[in-house]
Amino acid sequence: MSTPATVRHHVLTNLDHYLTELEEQLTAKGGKVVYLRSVEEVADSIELLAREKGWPLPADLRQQMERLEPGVAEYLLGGPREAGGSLLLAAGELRIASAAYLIAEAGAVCLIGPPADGAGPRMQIVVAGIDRVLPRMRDVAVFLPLLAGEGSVQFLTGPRRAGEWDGPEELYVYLVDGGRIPLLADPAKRDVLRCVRCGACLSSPPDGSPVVCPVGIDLENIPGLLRRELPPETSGWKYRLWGFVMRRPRLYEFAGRMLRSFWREEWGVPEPPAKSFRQTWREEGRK
Amino acid sequence: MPDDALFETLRAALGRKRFQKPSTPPEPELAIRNYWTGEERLQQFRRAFTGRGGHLHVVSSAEEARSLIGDLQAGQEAIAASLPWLAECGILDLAGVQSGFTDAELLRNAGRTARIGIISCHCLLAESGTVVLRSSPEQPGSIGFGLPVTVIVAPRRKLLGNLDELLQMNPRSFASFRETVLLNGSEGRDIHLILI
Repeated sequence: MSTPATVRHHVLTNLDHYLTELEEQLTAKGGKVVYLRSVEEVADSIELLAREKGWPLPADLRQQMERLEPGVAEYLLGGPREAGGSLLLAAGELRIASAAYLIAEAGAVCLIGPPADGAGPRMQIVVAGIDRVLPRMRDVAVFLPLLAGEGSVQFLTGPRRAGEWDGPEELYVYLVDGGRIPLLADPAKRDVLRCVRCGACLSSPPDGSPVVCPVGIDLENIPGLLRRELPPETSGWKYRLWGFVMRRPRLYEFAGRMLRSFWREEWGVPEPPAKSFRQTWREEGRK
Repeated sequence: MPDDALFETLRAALGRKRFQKPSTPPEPELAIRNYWTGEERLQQFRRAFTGRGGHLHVVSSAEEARSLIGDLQAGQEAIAASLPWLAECGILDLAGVQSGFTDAELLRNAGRTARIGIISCHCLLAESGTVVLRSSPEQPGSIGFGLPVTVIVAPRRKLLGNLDELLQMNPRSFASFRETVLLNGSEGRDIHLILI
């Protein structure tokens, strides 16, 4: 009998086989599988498809894509997978969703979140890291409880079939490398890709005992090993400029005012508060 | 990235050869609840399904089910999936219930005036209060999820213990349908499940 850890280990060591099986099964039922290097390429491809159809897309598509299916770096820094991660664009004609799992034997895509209303979108794009594969449908029984919580779950095996009046006319499955292959090449780091983003490691047990990862990732040692290899980000012109401004309080305050005045949603960074901490401090101090 | 290039890099990273078969994958440990009685399954299902906003009506006959649907309709139009089970229960013959649509346009037009969609399900999972729905030409999603109220009519024998039991019974059946939905509770919709 297996545990989630042994299944994930098996999948990752035989990933080429399971990706091939998934692609064969999906394409046999009319789905289209596209392999892409990065989330940037995903956004490019979506823009191309939307342009062909004449569908408008939001200006911040790239930021939204990054939130849907992050690369490996974001796995190390990010939180649990958001349930129901999907975007409905072009007046409901296009739905982009992040897959929770891909099931090779069934050629199925598993999405978490409520099903689409009515006839659903005309085009469904599913984005997933290449590591999201499970060998068989039976494995879902073990893996779904790690993610689904109380949300609904959909399994898609292809686009609309003959005789059906609804469901997407086209189903694209975008499989993203996103820096995963170099990790797979190193057996010491490969296990980080077992992660299914369940978020168990983010909660600390009240008794202070170590967190047990459901897929057997060595939480004590792997994050340290990977972070040590990240390039130090304390040099370069951005940090020199930041340091220059931080050392000049008036300039810092002026820069903050400019940021609040000119902030745009499409930058993809959170909206700054209406008042700076300094302003609030000064006003509170007068009372 | 061309697929061949990606696969070459991937195989090199894993130290595998082209067409190399994997060992047999480890068998998942399924938690089968076959020791639950029918009544225990029903109680478990009721707790989980109603706890997530669903309305459960347990009736003893198709006649009671028809009467209940009449009450839910309250004189308003409904559209129903053309399923043999619903026909067997006499639901497709109820006044104000349209079914047997021969094309998508007719269904869309009927959907504009109808308030209730009547469907059936593949099975029910007691442990999680889940309704398992499958798309088919007879039961389009526009009936199940396109209207303000959804009524699901199912026989009690469709009540299984949990997902593990369903996956043990027929895991390959998922591949036969374009879409399978595991609906956990109401998902903010007005959903009535009539169990006969």
